[in-house]
Amino acid sequence: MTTVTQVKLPMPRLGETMEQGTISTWLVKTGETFARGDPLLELETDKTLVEYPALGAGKLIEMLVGPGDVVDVGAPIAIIETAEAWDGIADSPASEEPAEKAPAASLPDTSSDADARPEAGQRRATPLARRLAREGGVDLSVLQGTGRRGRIEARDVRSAIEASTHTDTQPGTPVAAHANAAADSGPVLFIHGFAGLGSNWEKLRARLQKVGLKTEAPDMPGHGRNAAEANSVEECVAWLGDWLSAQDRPVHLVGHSFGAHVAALAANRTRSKVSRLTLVAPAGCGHDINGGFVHGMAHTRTAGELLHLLRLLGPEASRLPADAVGTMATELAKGRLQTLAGVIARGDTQLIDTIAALGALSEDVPVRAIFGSADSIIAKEHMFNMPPRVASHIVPTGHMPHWDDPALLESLIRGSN
Amino acid sequence: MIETTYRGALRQALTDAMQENEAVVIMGEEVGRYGGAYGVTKGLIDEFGEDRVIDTPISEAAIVGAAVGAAMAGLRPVAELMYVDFIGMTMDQLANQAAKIRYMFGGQIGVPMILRTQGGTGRSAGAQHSQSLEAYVMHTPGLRLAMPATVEDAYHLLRQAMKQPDPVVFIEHKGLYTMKGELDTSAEPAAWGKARVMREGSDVVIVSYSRQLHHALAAADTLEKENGIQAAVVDLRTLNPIDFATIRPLVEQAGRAMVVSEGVMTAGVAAELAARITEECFDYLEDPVVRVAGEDIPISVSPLLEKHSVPTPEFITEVARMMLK
Amino acid sequence: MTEKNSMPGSNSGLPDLYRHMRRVRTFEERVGELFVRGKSAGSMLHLSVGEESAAVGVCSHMHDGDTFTTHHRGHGIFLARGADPARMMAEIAGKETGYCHGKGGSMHIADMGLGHLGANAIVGGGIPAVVGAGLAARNGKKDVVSLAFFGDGATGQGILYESMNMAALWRLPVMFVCINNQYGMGTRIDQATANPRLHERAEAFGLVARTVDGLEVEEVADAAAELIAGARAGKPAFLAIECYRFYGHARKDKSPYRAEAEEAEGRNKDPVLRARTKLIESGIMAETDLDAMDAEIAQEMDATIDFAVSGNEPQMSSMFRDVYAPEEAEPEPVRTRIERILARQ
Repeated sequence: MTTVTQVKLPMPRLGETMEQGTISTWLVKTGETFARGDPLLELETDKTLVEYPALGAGKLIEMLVGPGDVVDVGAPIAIIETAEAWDGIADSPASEEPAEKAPAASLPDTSSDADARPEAGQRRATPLARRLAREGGVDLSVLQGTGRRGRIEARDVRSAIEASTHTDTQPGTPVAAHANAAADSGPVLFIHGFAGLGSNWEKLRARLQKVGLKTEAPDMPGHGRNAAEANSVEECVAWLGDWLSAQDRPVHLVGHSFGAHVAALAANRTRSKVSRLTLVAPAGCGHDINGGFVHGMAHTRTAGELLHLLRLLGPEASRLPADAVGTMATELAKGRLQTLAGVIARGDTQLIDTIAALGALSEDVPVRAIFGSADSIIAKEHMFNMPPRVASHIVPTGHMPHWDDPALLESLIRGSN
Repeated sequence: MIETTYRGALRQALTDAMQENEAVVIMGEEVGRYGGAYGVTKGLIDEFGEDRVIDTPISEAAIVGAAVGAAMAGLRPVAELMYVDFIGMTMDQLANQAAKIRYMFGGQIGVPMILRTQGGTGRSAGAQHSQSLEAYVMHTPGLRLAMPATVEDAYHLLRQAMKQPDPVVFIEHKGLYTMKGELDTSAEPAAWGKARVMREGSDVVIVSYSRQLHHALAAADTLEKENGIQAAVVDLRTLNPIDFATIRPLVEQAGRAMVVSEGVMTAGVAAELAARITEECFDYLEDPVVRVAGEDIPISVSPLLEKHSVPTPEFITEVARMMLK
Repeated sequence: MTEKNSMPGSNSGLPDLYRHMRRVRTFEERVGELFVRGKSAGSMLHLSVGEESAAVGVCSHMHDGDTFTTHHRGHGIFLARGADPARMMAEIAGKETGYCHGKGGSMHIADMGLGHLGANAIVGGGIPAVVGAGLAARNGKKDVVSLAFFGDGATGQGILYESMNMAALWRLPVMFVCINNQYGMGTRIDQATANPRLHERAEAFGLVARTVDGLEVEEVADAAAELIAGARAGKPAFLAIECYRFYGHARKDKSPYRAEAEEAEGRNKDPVLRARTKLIESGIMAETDLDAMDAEIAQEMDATIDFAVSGNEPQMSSMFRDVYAPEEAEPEPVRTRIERILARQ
């Protein structure tokens, strides 16, 4: 049994932040019938120009708003006649007459079919569609699924995103201008952490290079292709000091973990050559450190052992390909870092101090510190030890924020350029 | 480059290994004078003598147990289990001894032995000689598991298996012994533990191994010709280790995956792989990961019933079409 | 291992046999104490008290390079072969300082240095390995022998007969040593077999087979000397040693399934006491010398408990080690995998 009822069609919410929309064009004329999926009208919001498809078959009885009208979300925009249950409108009868006040009784017999009438907030969507929606800021509840049994699939979300970027892209996009500005701000110099390599920064550097930033990421003494050995912190700081002194303009210095300690000390000595300092998961900012990791890395002999340690670094580190792990294990097995490890930590206690240098430094040079909320090498709580002028961020990553979320790191680094 | 068969490639691998390494011995039922129930070891006893190609009594447990002891004492034994269906007879020696010795003894010693066997349907061998029991092995940490699908791998994978420091169960497919192919014994094979992408495709990923790989490839051809569907086909080669790194990007691209295996569906290899793909690639999936596996029944002797107890190329094709409809 | 505790290849006479038996007895008593103190890893402790003559008599004729496997009641055999009792005790306590770094325990102790291919918690599970070791010895033309030690319970397992057949068929340097302590867990041998003359089974396979009385350690040693020499020459052998299990199946088992009278009679067949009495009666050693020897052994074994108790627990990071060879990737911990899968990034 189906009953045709007249209902008010409300202004849909096409995104979590949308409060109002503008009617662009009606695509159906008064008195015309439409089938499920037919576009009824085009809507504009601050970000989007989208078609609003019919969620069931019916007939357009009356347009309540016209092109150019600005309408609040949820306000009626038309009266339609339909025999089907539309998400969100079944409770909005067109008139207040008692005879039409019981839409439940007049619902089609599909009301018992869960597939045909998804619960609000429980829209059926594929995992891929959900991810794309999450990333693209698309509200699944306004999408009409075209997949199996009405399921929202990736293509539904993609077309919604496409529609939104359509209006977003302005002529004369400022990417080039931004790149020029970036080029003026001096290069970014990355210093890797203990047992790391300059190549650890590859993902992030690729992103920054794309927007025109000049970057460098050398291997520290005692590491990788740097032939100089490092048995003390001073050897690393002196090396970086020399590097900075040789620059003709100030650099944005970014150090990770032990590299952050070295960067802070070197920047403190050579302030004129550092425009900004960014510390990623910095060592030396609190009492404790995962000593098992530091000493484990220095004394590791096999790939199996190393893999175990790398898992402590976070999700991305666990995905390193076996050959990369093998190469790393061979490198570490040379034992170049054993002395340095003893200088950095005894057991779980840090023997180095970064905070002292930061106090004075942050008065001259802007300093930013980034801690991973799931860092199992250096606790995020060390953030509370930062001097007041240091801007601190907690990001949802492990010990390698530049691996786990390079996009976020890019925005933090570009933001401070 | 020579043209040979899957059987010939296996025999070549054994011959080359025995020539290279005095410690390699073959032991099992009918491996010597008879030449192996499926002819793999034919002629080896003449070349290497009965001290190195050892005919044993019908004592599966002791064959594997003796291989364990021999491996611990410095030999490189290749034990042969005539049918994987007899693995139950050996399970204590395999799962409680070979698999656990390194761990139980704190890493003092490993058990570098091979258990060569064969399984699968296709010869009307009946319920006790046609099973695909790889899941029994895969469920035991400490045992490596290799299942060659191609002539190339019959040689190279066996050679690689014989260089492993840990026990390897090497399961051949009885339906593949006569398959012909090109073999270059000096070619650089895909690394041990690496899956091989046999065919690229962006619509659906078919993960398979052993004989079902050929069914998957046939299905992929049909899908391309008749439906324009591009199916990627992956040959796992080894089930322990599992090379997920090769599978992941393919599934992330296609958003759809099926696992094709002759083993029965419930709690099988396909179940494990489907779970892994779902876990690892969840945000990229457009459909549930489908197991195209053996029916949850014993294998019949009737060729008709036997054929339809395990995936056929036609069925794989049909499933792909259902997924992409 | 210090030379005085190892028994390289000669029957060194009754004083030495006694000393080694006393060491086994005292060690086993200390293992019992470790359990009572709550310091053993679990309660799966199978003591060989009453069976010392089997372990010591046979091991007195093993040489460097010989290999062996044992059953779950194998402490005495390993000790008689020259094991360091402190590292054994640490292993029984599940400590990093033990032979297998705390991963094996009482039932899976092993040491490749002494040719111990492993104790086994599966009845009969370690037997076929000696066939393989025998094959390796034959093919490598090495003058070594491989011994499988097991209890009377294992004579119910098919693997023993598969292995004896192969050893006889291929004339391997292998010996099967059945320590018949009359009980497979709670079942007496005559309740488990119609023919308790176990050596007859081995004879049927073509092995050189004997049964000796475990009360007399010298008889055990003499029989072992002869049979092991034969096995080295390609005449595989079987030796059954009759003794009595003084305690229950495991340390926690009070053996309610056997009569007190039977137990008392069984404990009268004490090979350690017997050897001691013989030494005194024959005038080879004075009682005071024996007392001094016993006291020294007691001190040595007391120290094993201190060593075991003070040893480190295994590192958590060792948990995933040695499933596969060191150069291989370790299995991914479940938590790591779940955290990775559920990570938002």
